[in-house]
Amino acid sequence: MSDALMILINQIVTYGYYAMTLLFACALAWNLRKTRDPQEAVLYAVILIPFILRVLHVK
Amino acid sequence: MFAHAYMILGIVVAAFLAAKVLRLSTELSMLAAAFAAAVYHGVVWSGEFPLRHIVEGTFTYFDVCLIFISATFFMALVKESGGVAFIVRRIVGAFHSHRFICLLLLTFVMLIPGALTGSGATSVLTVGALVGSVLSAMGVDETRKAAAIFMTAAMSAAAPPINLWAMMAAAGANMPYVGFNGPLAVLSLLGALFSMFWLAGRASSDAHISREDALARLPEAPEGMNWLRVLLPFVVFGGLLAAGRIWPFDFPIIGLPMIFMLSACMVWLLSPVKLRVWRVLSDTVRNLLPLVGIMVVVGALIQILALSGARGVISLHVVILPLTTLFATLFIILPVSEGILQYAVAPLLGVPLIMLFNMKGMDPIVALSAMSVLWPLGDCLPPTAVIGRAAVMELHYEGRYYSDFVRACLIPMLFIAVCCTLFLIYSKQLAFLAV
Amino acid sequence: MDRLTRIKWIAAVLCAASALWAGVEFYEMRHYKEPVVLGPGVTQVQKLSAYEPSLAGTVNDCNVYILDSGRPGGTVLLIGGTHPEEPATNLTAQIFVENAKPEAGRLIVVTRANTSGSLYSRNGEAYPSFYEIKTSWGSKKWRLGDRAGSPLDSWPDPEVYVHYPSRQLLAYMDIRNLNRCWPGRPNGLLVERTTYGMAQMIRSLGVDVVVDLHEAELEYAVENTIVAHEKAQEIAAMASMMLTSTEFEVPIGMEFSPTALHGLSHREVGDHTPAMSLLYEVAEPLLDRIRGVTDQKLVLEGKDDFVVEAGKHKLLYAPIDENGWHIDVRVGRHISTFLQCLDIFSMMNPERTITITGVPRYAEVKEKGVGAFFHDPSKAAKDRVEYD
Repeated sequence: MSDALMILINQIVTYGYYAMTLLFACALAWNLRKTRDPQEAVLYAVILIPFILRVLHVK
Repeated sequence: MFAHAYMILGIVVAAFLAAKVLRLSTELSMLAAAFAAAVYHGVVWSGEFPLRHIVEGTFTYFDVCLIFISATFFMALVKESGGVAFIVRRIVGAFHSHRFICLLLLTFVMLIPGALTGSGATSVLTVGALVGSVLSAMGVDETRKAAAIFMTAAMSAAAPPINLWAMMAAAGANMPYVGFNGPLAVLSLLGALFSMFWLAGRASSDAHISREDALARLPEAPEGMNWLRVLLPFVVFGGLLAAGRIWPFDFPIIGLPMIFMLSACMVWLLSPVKLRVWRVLSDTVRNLLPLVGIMVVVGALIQILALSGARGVISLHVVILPLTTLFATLFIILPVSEGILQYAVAPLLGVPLIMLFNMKGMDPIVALSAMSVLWPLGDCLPPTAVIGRAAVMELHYEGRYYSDFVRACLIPMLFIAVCCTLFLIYSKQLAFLAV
Repeated sequence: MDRLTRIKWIAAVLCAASALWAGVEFYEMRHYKEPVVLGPGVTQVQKLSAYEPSLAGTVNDCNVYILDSGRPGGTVLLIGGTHPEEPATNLTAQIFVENAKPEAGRLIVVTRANTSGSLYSRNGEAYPSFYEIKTSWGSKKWRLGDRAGSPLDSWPDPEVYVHYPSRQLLAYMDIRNLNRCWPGRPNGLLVERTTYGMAQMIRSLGVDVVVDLHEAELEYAVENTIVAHEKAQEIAAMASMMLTSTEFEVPIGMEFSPTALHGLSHREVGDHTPAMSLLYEVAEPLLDRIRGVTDQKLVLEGKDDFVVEAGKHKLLYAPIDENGWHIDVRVGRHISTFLQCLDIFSMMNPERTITITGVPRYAEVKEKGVGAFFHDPSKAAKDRVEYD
């Protein structure tokens, strides 16, 4: 495999990770919307922070 | 500086207890403790509220959270597709009359999810209920059954290849996570097998349950399920892991979470029943809320402790303890601290201990492995008790939590604690395991 | 709106506001450019991508400062910022860029070897994002950063990092640690390609000596020392003796580069390029796990009561008292050690002499402070200011 192709595939894997993080963030947000427990709701919101900042390529 | 650090620790404890009194969950109580400490540090020391540090701390175990979620999602899909029911029915069908072999295989079924994911909760949530059904069918009473599920799940978290305590402590001590498989395997297998045979080795009731009755208590595997469909996703998982090791310079770096997601795709493709993937994912995230929540919040708390010097003062007091005192108390300190702080104990106590052990000429890999098998024993202890709570919930256990369930775990825990302490004391002589 | 919905909205808004608040600081750190005033000796500024094209457009396409005397002699490469959380390293390198005048031979300087790691702060460690040093013309600001490259630039990590070409297994995050990625590989992740680019540069520019600057926690055994590849052992031994007897209050030691430990510059540069390799360590209390309050003061002054207490229990590999390990002391030691090694190299290889003037030695840095050796970018000609 050429060097450039390998770098490209690794880049695609990285994009895959952003997609995966977004998917998990959506699942967290979905559960935040659905939960009937206020404490769970707060915890979902807190957990979402790193997921969102990573998807936005901030941290 | 000492006074400030002690004050921060006092505030953390007080805020945590106050939040618990107000009936906040353990995760939110820890968050409240982190905020209270941050406010005090901001007012007294730095003059600004360290919100950046709280947010940054939530990232500390981000990759670990991704592994948790993706691995549990994979195992949940295997369960949803009927794969777990298929495996368990086959074990019961083939080995019902051979109690020894049956328990042996059930122990391995319990160990695999946690060993692959580093999370005992994954074992409980994916295979715990089914293995519990088999144990019931084998005449094991409810308390011993719950204890056996918890103990094997705890050992599954400790089992290699992924032991998160060892990984986190090794990372903090700038030590490669290499050579741990041997000592971790010996200790976790010993612990899991002893627990399973001690707790479920003999039936509590005299009634003999026939193979047919036992099978009737288990859910049916869906039509069309076969070994190929069950095993192929695991082959993909093992294959991708192996490829990265065999051709490390000619194979892309995929990472564990993506490997789990690709294996999950295989489960989805091969499942004989239509899988509701989004529902499974959202259920996975809901089931993991306490675990992921604690990782995120503990990260924030640890960062505030590091910022204010409270982490340093804890580490300092640990490393200046005499070795004999450590050996005599670690088997209590580690599980209790795990009950309080979960995985956060690995960087908090594990790193300074490893540096100390290294300095004293002990084998750091064997010593850290022993500690990393002691830690999960605390997963049934308050205030967090994540795996213990998950086990009793999943098995619909109705007995008393401490006086029945935790009490039933005490003898296996003691056995494991003795083994681990011996590994600590004789780490140098056991260094041959760390290859 | 019922109570539950209200709680959900309040939680969501508060968390979003917290993320935004912190996000602004993360963004600032990631996009802050450090001005470097090109000193009288700088003859050319290259990009590392000249030696490894795949780095072009990435954050690790760092500046390579070339200070050529125009006279015959040897070539030395000084690497700062391998681990960005070790600020004495990039500050030392930058002092050479802003002040050094080569009289013979050629000096090549990289101030931010792993720029990616300098663009974010290590999670869980509570490091300050920036630190500022007072100068005669105001205060000058640098990013602190992490030991390893940022996951924003290199994600994911493997479950275990297999080092190229030794196949030694290392911790997963070390694939972003520049001093575990030597000699690098052209099809690897970002940091592996960065070291590959530097190794290519060493080969193509005919570098004789490579010096990689570091700082270490006092709990770590390799401390206040020069770690030398076999090719550089004599230089390291002589430098350590001379510096200890003439300049430093706290001795500097000398250690052989272990042959079985891979990925480190002192081993791989010597093994895989024609250059000889040296690595310097100086004590930095910020890196100790047992440290107290973590702030800019600790970064710069290196004073810590908890580390002092650990020293009383003989748990440290370097001495520390209430004066700590000030940044002036750490930078001064690195500068003197570098100049001493060059003197000895030149003495042993007269045809490859490298002579550098214009930079202060330990005593002068300690007396005047590091801030005295950085120049005001607003007063410099625009074409004499670069950004890292």
